[in-house]
Amino acid sequence: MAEEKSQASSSKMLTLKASDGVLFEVELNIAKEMKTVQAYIDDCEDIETIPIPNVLGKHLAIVIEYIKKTNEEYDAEFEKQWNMDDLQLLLLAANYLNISGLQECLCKAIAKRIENKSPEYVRKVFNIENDHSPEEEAKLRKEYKWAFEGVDKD
Amino acid sequence: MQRRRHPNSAIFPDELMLEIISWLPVKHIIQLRCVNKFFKTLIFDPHFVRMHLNKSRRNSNLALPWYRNLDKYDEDYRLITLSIPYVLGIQTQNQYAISDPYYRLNDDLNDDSIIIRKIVGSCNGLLCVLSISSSDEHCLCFWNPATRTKSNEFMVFDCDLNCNMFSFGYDNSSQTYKVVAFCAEESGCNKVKVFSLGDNSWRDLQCFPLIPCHDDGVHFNGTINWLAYHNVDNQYVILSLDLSTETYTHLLLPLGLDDVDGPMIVLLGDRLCFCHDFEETHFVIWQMKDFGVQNSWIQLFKVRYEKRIGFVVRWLPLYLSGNGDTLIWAEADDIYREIFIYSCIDIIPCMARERGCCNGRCC
Repeated sequence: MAEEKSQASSSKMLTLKASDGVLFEVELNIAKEMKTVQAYIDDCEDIETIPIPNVLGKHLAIVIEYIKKTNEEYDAEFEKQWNMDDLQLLLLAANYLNISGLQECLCKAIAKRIENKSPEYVRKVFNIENDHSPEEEAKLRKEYKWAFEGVDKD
Repeated sequence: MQRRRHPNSAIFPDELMLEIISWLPVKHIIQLRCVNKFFKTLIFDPHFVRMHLNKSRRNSNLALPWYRNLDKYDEDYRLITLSIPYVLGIQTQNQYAISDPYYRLNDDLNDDSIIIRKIVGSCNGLLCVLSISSSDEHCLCFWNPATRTKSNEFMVFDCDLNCNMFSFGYDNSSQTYKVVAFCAEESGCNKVKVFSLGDNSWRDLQCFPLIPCHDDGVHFNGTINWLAYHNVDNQYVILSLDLSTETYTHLLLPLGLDDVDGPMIVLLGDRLCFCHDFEETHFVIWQMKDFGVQNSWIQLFKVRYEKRIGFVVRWLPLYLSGNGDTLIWAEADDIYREIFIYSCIDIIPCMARERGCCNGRCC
């Protein structure tokens, strides 16, 4: 799949401009994997530089690399290189750019990293505020005691 | 969903959060109900449930009766579920009774409160169980082993008839779980009734055009299927009930099958399969690749029995892995009344070639 993309007949290049001003020149068929960009192109055919206001240069670089190289083997190793903060920002990028394969890969990766971790850990990772009252939470923990067996240490 | 904001932190839209959480096992999702109110209600959100189901279809479990005391097998058993990877990883006989990853239905209840007769069927991870209530009546209940929740007991409709055939399925069009019951009257009439979970009531259906050979129907994609013998055409056919239209059709078995012994239908590898004995030496499994298309039957396996002389061996295939190289089946031996689970890791799918005996490990 990677080879197909780089040898595509279309050699038209497009420039993507990340939120911090970094510019990326990509082939049209790579850019089209980002459905958001595709929609942009559909709307304005002559465009040469497309602004990507929500994504930093460093993340856009990773996303473009993913699109070029994605296959089963690459995907399996892909997520291991990034810390949780980067994974989350990459997911937001993939979501904004509408790249379903990357989005699924990242969701799975993040789920794997939080699997079997405590509610406190999950709150910290996603910056979630606990809106349960102490009584509510205690009740849940008691009622579902079995679900808390075998939790990983944070 | 409320958030505590830190600079440079990622704020996920709810839909993305759902997508992440939908990859987690049920046990963990239940634990995460403590995170906040949004997480608490997730397991009741139909959209989330469907998302999760689509991902977890690939995780299979076996539901089994576990006889604690082999001498009293009729009186004392528990229903347990075991995950397939766990079953296949088992090395020794003792290990499985001790480790965590299985759950026993009856342990949470008073021993006397529910006597389970049989597992009627399973659908989307939900089990339908036939039991006898404390007031000595037959009833159905539905059990979700993943969330460890059990429904109320629903009385089986009052009848003097000998009702011994129940099947459990899911109607995709109305998104309802249904139980189909078949009652045979001594006078020769037969009655078919359907129970819809949600309505929680029984209704009559049109009678079977043919009488099924077997106890329970096999649910597949919104249909329930039984093996039946067509007296006029002198052959076995599959009687198929569409749960949404509530009408019957006949499906044909593979072409060219001569008289077969011990025929049965099962669901394996997400397809309807037909199994039979071949000359008392082999067990044959056919799979219908395209539902309802006779030409799409292919012979998956032809496995030699290791038969003990004079004993009747009944094999019941339970599970076929996605890539088709692992088959789990139970063997019930009339004399010993024990159920063994074997897995054949090296089995090679064959069309007409015989396969040597598979090595099994019992657990």
